[in-house]
Amino acid sequence: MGIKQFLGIKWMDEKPKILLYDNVTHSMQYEDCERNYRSEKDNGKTL
Amino acid sequence: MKIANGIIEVKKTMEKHCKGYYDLIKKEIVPCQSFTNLTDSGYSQCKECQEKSGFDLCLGCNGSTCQTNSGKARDFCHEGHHVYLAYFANDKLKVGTAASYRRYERILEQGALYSIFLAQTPNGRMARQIESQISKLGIASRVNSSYKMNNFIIDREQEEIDRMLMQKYESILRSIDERCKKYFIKPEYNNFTNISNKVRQNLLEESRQLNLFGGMDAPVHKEYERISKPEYISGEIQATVGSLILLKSGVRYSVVNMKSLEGWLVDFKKREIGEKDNEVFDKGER
Repeated sequence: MGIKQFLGIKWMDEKPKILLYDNVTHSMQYEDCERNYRSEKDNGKTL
Repeated sequence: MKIANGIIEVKKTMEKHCKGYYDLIKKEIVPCQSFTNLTDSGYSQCKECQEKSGFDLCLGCNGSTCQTNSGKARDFCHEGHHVYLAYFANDKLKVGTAASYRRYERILEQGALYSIFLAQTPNGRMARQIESQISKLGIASRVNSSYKMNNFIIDREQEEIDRMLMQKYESILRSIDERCKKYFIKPEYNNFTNISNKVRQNLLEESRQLNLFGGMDAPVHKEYERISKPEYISGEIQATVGSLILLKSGVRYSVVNMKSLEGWLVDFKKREIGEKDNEVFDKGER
């Protein structure tokens, strides 16, 4: 993938993404940054 | 899109540029137009982008007097907010605020795997006032990355943590003033047990020692390297907690603070498990 600017880890739709910026093409690139642990979230539970 | 259930290799170069800013209105990241070189600076954002974000004067706000001169920041502040109480390993609690529309992302950014939303406010200013009052009760409003790296494994079970959060919620409710109390809601729990379990599966080892009572000793923490300023990292991503990633390389584990790489130009490579080294590295865009 070559040399890119690292902009950080961003959480989008509750999934982590590595965000890279290419200053030559002026484009953003999102790379998944997780193993298979999606859709197991237990949220919204109230007592 | 494939899941990056694979190996990454990141090599920092000698060059750092401004990382741009988050546009509060468009709700998107905007790259720095000047691509300002910040290699010799301790910052990762240039002055221009800091001003464009409009948010710089809001840092440290306690909801008393508005400091900002940015219309964007004011508009953002007029959106609904939530106040949360987050649990970190070794019983560290943190209070914080989040714009309601991105409250789940906010707690995930923080690496807060267990939390409750305890108040809902019509704007950010009220949320900050509640946060400030709760913080005066002795609850931290910041947990630094060094603490998070050193306390990466949560030993407690979810039920214990939920109980602890609920007890603290009740104690806060007893102490907070009436003006703030009306914004309190029935606590909404957020448990990312799935992520916590990934960390535990990798870094906890069942004890094989029988204790004096005939039971087994508590699981033992495996050793892991703490990399706060990565120059070169390589390994398989096991879990991501906030901006920290847990990498495995052979039998060695590392917890890497990826935040410190923000703005740096990096040589980034990734390959899926099972693919040969020379097959996929440098294969280009997916």
